[in-house]
Amino acid sequence: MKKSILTVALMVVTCMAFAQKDLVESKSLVGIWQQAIVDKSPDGQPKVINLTTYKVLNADKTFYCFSINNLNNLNSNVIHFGSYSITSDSTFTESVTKHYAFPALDNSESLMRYKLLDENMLLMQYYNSVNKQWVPEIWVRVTPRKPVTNIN
Amino acid sequence: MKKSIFTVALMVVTCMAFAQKDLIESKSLVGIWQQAQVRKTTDGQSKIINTAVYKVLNADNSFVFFSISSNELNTNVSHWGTYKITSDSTYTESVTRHYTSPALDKSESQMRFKLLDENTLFMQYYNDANKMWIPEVWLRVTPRTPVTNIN
Repeated sequence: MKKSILTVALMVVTCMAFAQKDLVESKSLVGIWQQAIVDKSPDGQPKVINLTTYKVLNADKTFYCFSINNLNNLNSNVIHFGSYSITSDSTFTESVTKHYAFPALDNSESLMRYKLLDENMLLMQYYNSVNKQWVPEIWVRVTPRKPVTNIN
Repeated sequence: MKKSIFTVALMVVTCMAFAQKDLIESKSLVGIWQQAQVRKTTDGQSKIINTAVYKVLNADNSFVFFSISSNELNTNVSHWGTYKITSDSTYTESVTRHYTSPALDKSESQMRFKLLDENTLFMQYYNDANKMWIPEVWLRVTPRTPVTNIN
């Protein structure tokens, strides 16, 4: 019995130790994501423009969203948090435990479609039950920063 | 034996479910922190200015740093690791991986900290090269207040 408990405890500690590596160096849905929009550049080419909303999808299936509300003073706040469950290779559900901006969404569940366009770009759609339509979102992975070679 | 394993598994799942609440509604060192600077205004008053550097100190004693690094709002992770609280005013940060300065991989930093209030953290890290404590101010990223007007 002791051996089994020790094995489970060891698994938990190992998972915790690797949790941040899994988050930061992930190639899957797990990761720190920054919302973006696609706009046209002056030469007519599509251009990805970063927004200041972040979603952290942790390896332990918890998540939270926070955003910078005001770019002038950089005030940042958590919007909501909860857990998620991957239901297929292109769908998942987000269960919101607490939604600070819209308390009516506490304990709500959202159906999500997703597709990794590449390792670091995520196309996501959530179902808006009021308008009965899938609403698309683009998210860009917050990747490890490159080593600093010049410090001025 | 099965009962014991089930109990441990249940504890793990319960801990995970509460982990995000512990992170976001924390009143302790655990939390999402945004670095700030204290500057003097033209009338001589002190003013706190937010920066775009974030540190997440998770309830499971792991941490991750990320920051906005350009005008285009590009955001990147600088380093991550684990931390250990060693007293009510000190802790150590063990960097597992430092992307910006790889020489700091597997390094450890001694930290002093004091919560000035629930949402303001005064911190100092020890700079070995200059043999001095460097101060930093961090503000908690708190839950947003409910939206009452949508324009």
